[in-house]
Amino acid sequence: MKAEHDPITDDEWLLRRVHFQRFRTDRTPIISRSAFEPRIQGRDPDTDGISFYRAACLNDPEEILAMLEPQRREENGIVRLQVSFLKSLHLSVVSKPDARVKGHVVIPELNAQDYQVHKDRLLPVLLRMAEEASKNENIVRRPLRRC
Amino acid sequence: MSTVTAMRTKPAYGAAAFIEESRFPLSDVGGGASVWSDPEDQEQAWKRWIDELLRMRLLQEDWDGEGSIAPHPSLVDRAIRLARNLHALDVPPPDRIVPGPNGTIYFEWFTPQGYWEIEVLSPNDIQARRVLKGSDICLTYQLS
Repeated sequence: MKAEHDPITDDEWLLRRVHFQRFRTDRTPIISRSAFEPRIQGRDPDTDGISFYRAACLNDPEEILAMLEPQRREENGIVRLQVSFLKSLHLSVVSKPDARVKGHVVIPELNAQDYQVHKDRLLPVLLRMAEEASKNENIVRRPLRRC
Repeated sequence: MSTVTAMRTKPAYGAAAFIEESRFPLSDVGGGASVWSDPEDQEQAWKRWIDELLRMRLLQEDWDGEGSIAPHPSLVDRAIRLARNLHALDVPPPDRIVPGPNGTIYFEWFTPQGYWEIEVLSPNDIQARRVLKGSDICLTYQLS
């Protein structure tokens, strides 16, 4: 297991929660590109970039559900993307520790402000991420509800 | 658009309702979407999506536990009207209709030619986008 201050390596896997609304089992790709869309408004805008968690810093991928209310956990699935894949899309990964769950990182290029201005430029990137996350081997956990 | 699709009876919503949606290059979506080969499937799929949109009207703030805002009921109503208009124009049902994290609603189509989406941003602001297969270029159409 890695410590949060350990360098992020290209072979690491990053985990992201995906709500069941953005998960479908009867269509390809399974994951909607909106699963990677930065939040511009709401309670917790993605001002520094969308969040992922380093699998290498966790004992169990389901730890990233711990910050949700218990009844909300079953509504979420978990997908993974490799750091090297994100780099191939010209994205970077920056550590941003969060006391609630270890291994929190952000993708600075996918931040709220840039998304608002460059939605068209970022859409192909979000599509590639959704396609990759939809691969069977990258679906770590399916939502337990409504799928 | 496929022959099968064209044979289906169009619901009567009134020609005026089609004007905005007609600006979307619909034939590209119809020509590419092969997943809904049976017109009955298409009919049922549109009905299911409209039911799904009606459920989205009930979403509350923080509906996903991540702090996302809920789409405003007037925006959902516009999305329902859009769905009915597209259905009436014989556009194949989308592969997904999903609320975005920013209070908008997406209609998504995955075709052999590429990806299409329509985003309902507000009752008066609807955009369509397409990304051709293998392309990194997104083309945008302002529908209203």
